[in-house]
Amino acid sequence: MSMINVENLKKSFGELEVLKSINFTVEKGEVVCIIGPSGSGKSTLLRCLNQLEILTSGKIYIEDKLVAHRDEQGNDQLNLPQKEVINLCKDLGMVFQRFNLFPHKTVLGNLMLAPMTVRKADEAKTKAKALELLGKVGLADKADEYPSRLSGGQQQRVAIARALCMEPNIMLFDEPTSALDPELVGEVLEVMKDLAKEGMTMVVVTHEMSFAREVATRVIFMDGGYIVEEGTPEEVFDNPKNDRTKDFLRKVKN
Amino acid sequence: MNQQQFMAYVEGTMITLQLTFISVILGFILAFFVAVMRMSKNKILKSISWVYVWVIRGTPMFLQILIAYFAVPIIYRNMTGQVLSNWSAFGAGVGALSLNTAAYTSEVIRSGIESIDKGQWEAAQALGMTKAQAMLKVIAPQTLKRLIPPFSNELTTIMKDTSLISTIGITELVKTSKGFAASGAIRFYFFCGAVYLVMTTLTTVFFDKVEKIAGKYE
Repeated sequence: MSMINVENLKKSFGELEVLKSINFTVEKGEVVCIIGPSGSGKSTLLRCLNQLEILTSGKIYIEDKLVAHRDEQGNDQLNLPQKEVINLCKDLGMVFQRFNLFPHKTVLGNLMLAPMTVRKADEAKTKAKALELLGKVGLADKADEYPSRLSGGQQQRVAIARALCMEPNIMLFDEPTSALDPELVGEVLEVMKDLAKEGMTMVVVTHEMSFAREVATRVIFMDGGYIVEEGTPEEVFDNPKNDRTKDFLRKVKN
Repeated sequence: MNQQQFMAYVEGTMITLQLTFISVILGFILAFFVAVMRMSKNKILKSISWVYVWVIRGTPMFLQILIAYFAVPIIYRNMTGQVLSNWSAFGAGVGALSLNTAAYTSEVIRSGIESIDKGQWEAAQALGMTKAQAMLKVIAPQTLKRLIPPFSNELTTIMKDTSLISTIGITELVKTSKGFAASGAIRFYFFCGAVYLVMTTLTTVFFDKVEKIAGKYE
């Protein structure tokens, strides 16, 4: 069973075609890092996976279930009600560049809101689970704080714990460290490394090349709306075949 | 001021407060629906609410009160052939004030909801919440806090505007004062102003407190 399977995905914003024809698969336990210049469509691809963006055409399977299908003319072939789409995507967790914590809830409240609202989960069990996850990201002592009192790095770790509290099988990370001060990047990457070690399937859009090299099982290089090159970190970083990949990596190094 | 005059003031104040609170509560409930209509994807609902807000905000409230009291019963009779019984000045006044405040408040609610960062909707959706759940648990609580100052503002505005209802025969604070001042005792005008000031100040102070409590997460 593939965790994610994307066939001929295209996405346009008006006249602008951001994703031109994307095919890729993510297997269980893989950590796929997507790299590439700004505007190459990395974030849009990630956002299409959990339906934050509606694809223009193509197919998306999550855990072998078809969750989105539009033909070349852009007609929806599934016409699923919103509830059903959300249900099909429930195994996807997402972490945003700008955290998007709920400012009116405490840290604990942020973690508990979705399980209790969506799954009507038991309050005591959810609280225990939330506290356990906060311990895991090193923030057990911040449970009763409001997000505005936390540093960016702490907020992002809460956001990871919040996504995990819904018990996803796949975690999507959309440039999780790009909005952080440099000295706070490390603590977030550490949490992500731990998650990878536990065998979580992860798709990470990132500019952290050293993280990609160390943690990724596969690296995808995107440019201009296409997947230009993919392979193991060694293949892509040490021995890039495509000129555009070479050019990008040279610029990143400097 | 003798006891009889004092009692008249108490009654006038009560009428003013009743007009204010009934209108504001009805108006705010209506405002919520108008705001939702205004933001809906349905073009008809959107147009209806747009026209409503446009008409109410673009005409004087005084005229709206006159239409509610004098014109509505005639229009009703012409359309149905029956006489509208029990059409009270109080009811017409509350109706006009509610419709008026709903138009203004609906725009406040709409801009409040739209001022919430798009990332909040996305985070809620990514966590599996439906639009309704996101609205209820994530967007509305944050919007409500931002709405406290403009709500407080609208409440004091309506409190003062209830004085216009006196023109259709309701004896509230201003009409009470006018009656006593008619014989040249102008002090009653100033006393009336003082009562309004106390009520509007208390309202403002109260909502400032509420805002502080609601904003504890910032």
